[in-house]
Amino acid sequence: MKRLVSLVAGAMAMISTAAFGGSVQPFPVDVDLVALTANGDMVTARYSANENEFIGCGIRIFDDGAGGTFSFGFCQAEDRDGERAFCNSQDAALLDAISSSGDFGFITFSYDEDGVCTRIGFSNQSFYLPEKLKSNE
Amino acid sequence: MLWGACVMKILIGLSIVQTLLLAIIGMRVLSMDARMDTVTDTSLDVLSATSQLKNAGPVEIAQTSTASLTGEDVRWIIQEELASFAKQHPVAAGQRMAQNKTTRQKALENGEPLYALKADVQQELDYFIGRGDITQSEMTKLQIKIAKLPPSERGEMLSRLTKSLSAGEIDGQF
Repeated sequence: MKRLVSLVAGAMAMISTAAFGGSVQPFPVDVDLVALTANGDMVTARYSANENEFIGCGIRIFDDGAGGTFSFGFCQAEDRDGERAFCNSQDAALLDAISSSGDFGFITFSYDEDGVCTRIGFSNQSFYLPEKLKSNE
Repeated sequence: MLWGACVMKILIGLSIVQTLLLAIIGMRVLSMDARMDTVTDTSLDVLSATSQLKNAGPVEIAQTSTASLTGEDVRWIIQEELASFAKQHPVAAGQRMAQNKTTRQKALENGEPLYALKADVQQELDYFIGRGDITQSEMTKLQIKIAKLPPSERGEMLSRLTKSLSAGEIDGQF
């Protein structure tokens, strides 16, 4: 009887570990070519089953050859259907927003018909983290 | 008697002063007359030079009349001559203007490095669109060139690049 209780308790403990690993909210990349927006989280895109999905933002800073620098930011995404969204920005506030983005986060951006970013958003949430980081193994 | 002598002396003095004043005025008039002659001669020289210009050309005028012509005169004469030439040879004048425009455009193309750089970036973009893709290394090089464009043209080129990527005309990433 004691053995049976121990086995049941052990099984319950294992089940609860698996079931309560924290909230997970994968957000596959979605590009809307009508609304000119793109959304998605980086982890889901990275580990998606297809070879298309990606999403991200970045900043480039160059010597302008005239004693100054030229900076621009960009966001880019492609969903599983191969629809692509790219935008660039020289707006200082949007560049600041890109600088503050974190790893494994959710990204959303909009752009106009000239390909200029009009909105960039980031959300760093635990539920966007990969299932298990190496540091936690 | 004494009173009469005094009046007489005063009258004589006044007449002397009057004579002197008349002499001075006469001299002034003669002087002004002489200056008027000089001015008239100069005007005649200018008119003569202008008529010579119409027959002989600008180089001869410059050599014969620089002493009496002012810069304003020369400018006026040149304008008159150009207007006259344009009236007499409207087709030739139009061709010269067109030729000048072409020369200016060529000078811009050859002499303006920033203009050449923009053309270079446009050519590269067209090349990548034609090829259908761009490597990460090529993208970086293209962005370096865009950075060296005048600020007003960077946005234009980035926009073209961005739209080409979005439309799938170029397969690549920033």
